[in-house]
Amino acid sequence: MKCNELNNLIDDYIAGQIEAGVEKQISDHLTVCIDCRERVRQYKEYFVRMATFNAPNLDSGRSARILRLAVEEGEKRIAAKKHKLSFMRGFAAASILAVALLFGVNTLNTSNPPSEIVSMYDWERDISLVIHVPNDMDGALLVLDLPDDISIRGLEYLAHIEWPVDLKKGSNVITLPINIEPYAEYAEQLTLAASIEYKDKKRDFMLDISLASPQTGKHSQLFDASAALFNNV
Amino acid sequence: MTQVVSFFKRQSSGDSFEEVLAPHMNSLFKQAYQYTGNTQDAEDLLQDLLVELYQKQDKLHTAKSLRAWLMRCLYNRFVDGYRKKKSAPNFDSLHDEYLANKLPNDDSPETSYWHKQVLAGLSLLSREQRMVVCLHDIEGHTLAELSDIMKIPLGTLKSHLFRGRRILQDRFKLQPFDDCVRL
Ligand SMILES: [Zn+2]
Repeated sequence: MKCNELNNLIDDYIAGQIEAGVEKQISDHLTVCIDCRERVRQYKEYFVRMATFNAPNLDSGRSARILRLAVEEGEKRIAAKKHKLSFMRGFAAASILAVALLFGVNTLNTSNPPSEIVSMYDWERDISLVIHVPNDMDGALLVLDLPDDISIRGLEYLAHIEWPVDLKKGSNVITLPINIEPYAEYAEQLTLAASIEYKDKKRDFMLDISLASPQTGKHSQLFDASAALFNNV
Repeated sequence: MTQVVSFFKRQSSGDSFEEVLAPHMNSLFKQAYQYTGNTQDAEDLLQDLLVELYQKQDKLHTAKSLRAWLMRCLYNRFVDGYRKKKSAPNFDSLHDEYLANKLPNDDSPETSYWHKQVLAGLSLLSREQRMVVCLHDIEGHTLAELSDIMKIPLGTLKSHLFRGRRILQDRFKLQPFDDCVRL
């Protein structure tokens, strides 16, 4: 028996779940190896201490209260979403959120890329990019790099997509039908890397997509911000 | 948009939200306590999770193993959403009255002392280490089970477990009244 072999068996050895022959090899090793003896002692001590840790129970009254609050709050948020949806439908078909991207008149540089949070709840979702440009840009190239958790419906196999778009002066709404992987719901923040290329100039931007819990307040803010941009057109 | 609208129209089938979740509450709470280190944050974490789940009741009713799915959701919620609000566990609440009444069965000073020491040690761990140490070394899940539940590769869990244990063991070594529990 070597030290590292013993190390791999240490859990089972301490739990007494080791066949007799191997156990004999271990105890033989322990009589000659002071390091392993010390390691086994530390492990035993560790398990004794961990065993003293015992999380408190949740009594049934508190459990019921937490559940009741969750139902109340959940209902509120669903109602808020419904309201938000009907409001938005009137504004822009198939859009749940507008992200405004401002282009400077002469500077298509990459400094200070606008970055907004888009919140989504469902696995299939249309998100809208609102691209605000100072001049007509015919044949601008829109380039998207999608994270693993997001794909464009109908183009699920593509992680990199680019296509020409004719952008008109002012706001341009582009709808992206996306799928979100079911377990992306709690994933790290998702980021969509995008860029627009026009006449040898390129503007990169990152769109943060938050799949975290719905935050109604944030929606309104974002929405208002883009609505304000629309009004300025 | 069609999908979005139909999502809201869909009614949850069968048992109510509360009926489905009630049997899992205590175990989720204990896990939340192990992750957060105090009862108040554990309740907050659980509450946040449930509000979110309420809005996804269709998934609740279709999850293959509800228990595993809930464990994964809770852990992911802890890792992802929860950190935005609270950065470090709050040990002051160890002294709060609620916990004083709630510490289970053996409330000898020594057990309580080590309970606190374990909590303090856990706070040194990364969230991944903390999860696997608690669910493996305290709750008794195997690494294979946890890999399946959390959808994290076995090797990754194993290395989190061993690093977490090393940190805890080093911390325990430094504590006084070592002889109380020495074997
Ligand atoms: Zn050895």
